[in-house]
Amino acid sequence: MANPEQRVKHVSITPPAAIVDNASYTTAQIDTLGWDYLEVVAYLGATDIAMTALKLQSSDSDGSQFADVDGLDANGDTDAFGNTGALPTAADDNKFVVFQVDLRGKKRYWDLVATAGDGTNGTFLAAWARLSRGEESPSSNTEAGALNVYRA
Amino acid sequence: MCKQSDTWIVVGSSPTAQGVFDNVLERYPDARTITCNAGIYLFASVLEGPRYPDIYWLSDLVACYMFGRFANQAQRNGTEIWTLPRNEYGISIRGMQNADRYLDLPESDHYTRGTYYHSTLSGTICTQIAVNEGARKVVWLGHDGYRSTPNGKVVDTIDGRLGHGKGWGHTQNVIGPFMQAVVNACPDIEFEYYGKPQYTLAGPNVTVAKQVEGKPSPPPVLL
Repeated sequence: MANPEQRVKHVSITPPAAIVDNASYTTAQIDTLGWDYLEVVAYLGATDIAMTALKLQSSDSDGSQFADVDGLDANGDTDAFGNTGALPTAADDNKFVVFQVDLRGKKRYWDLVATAGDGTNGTFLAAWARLSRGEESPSSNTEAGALNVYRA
Repeated sequence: MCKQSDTWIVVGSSPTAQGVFDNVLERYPDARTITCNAGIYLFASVLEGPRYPDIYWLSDLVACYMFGRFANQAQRNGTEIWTLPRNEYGISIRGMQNADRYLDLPESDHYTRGTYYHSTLSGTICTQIAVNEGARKVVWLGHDGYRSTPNGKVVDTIDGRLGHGKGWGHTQNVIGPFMQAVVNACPDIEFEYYGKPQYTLAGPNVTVAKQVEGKPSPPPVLL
């Protein structure tokens, strides 16, 4: 029986590309069909300015009509440990912001809204999703969303 | 720092700073001095021998790359290097492991006297430091703001670099409001401004002049 930790798929949301300044990152939506749990990781690179938006949205429609979800906005929602959330600041280089979602009873499509602040140079950011508790285990690297999956 | 003066010279990097820097330092020989980013060039280029500011604010990633060597030299000669606190990696990629002070700047959208906040641009942070360190007189030079627009980039700093396309927006939305807010919040502090501000700056406690009397200055920069 496959280890449940292996029944996962990774989805690229924003690849580590060019720095973004005073603009929203181009993001790919996440189709969660067949999965019961979603984790989104936003990984900041070098930055000198606070972000102005970082939140998850969901929709029943493919590619449209995304709306905010309670508890998944870094700008003021309470985090999993009871702290009032705040957007990443100018000093938050190389930190993660993690969103964890029990998908049962929730909408199918998800999108990350991430906007770099209006500083001098901008902010590097990469983001990806980890889908888990799937109905079926991936049977290939492609199904796992990876170039290669190595196990020991 | 061993100076006890409550006069602070806050040096920016607008092109007009070149024409007044030497005379301002001569007028206020005992003043504390603070600068950031390209402002260090003014101190380094004194013909009689480099001068070193009391404080050098350096935090922006690109600025740390460009001016880190100057910062190290200045620190060896008594300058305090101040920067933002970051995690170990953020500090290391900026070369700020040996900074003298890590100054926390909380996020806010307005200036409140007596506190610090991240006012986006390094020159404005230098003014906050001067005021919070007890300045009774603040002498500004090189804080004219940026003139570059998306369709018209011009030389915006003393080292000849073209400005960002959004520079003019920063001048109107960040620099100008900040400078006026400080003047308004500190009626007991005297502000002397040298240069050509690209924004309105007014108040009973502020004077604005293009030149300072003294020995002949270098040829004025054409604007």
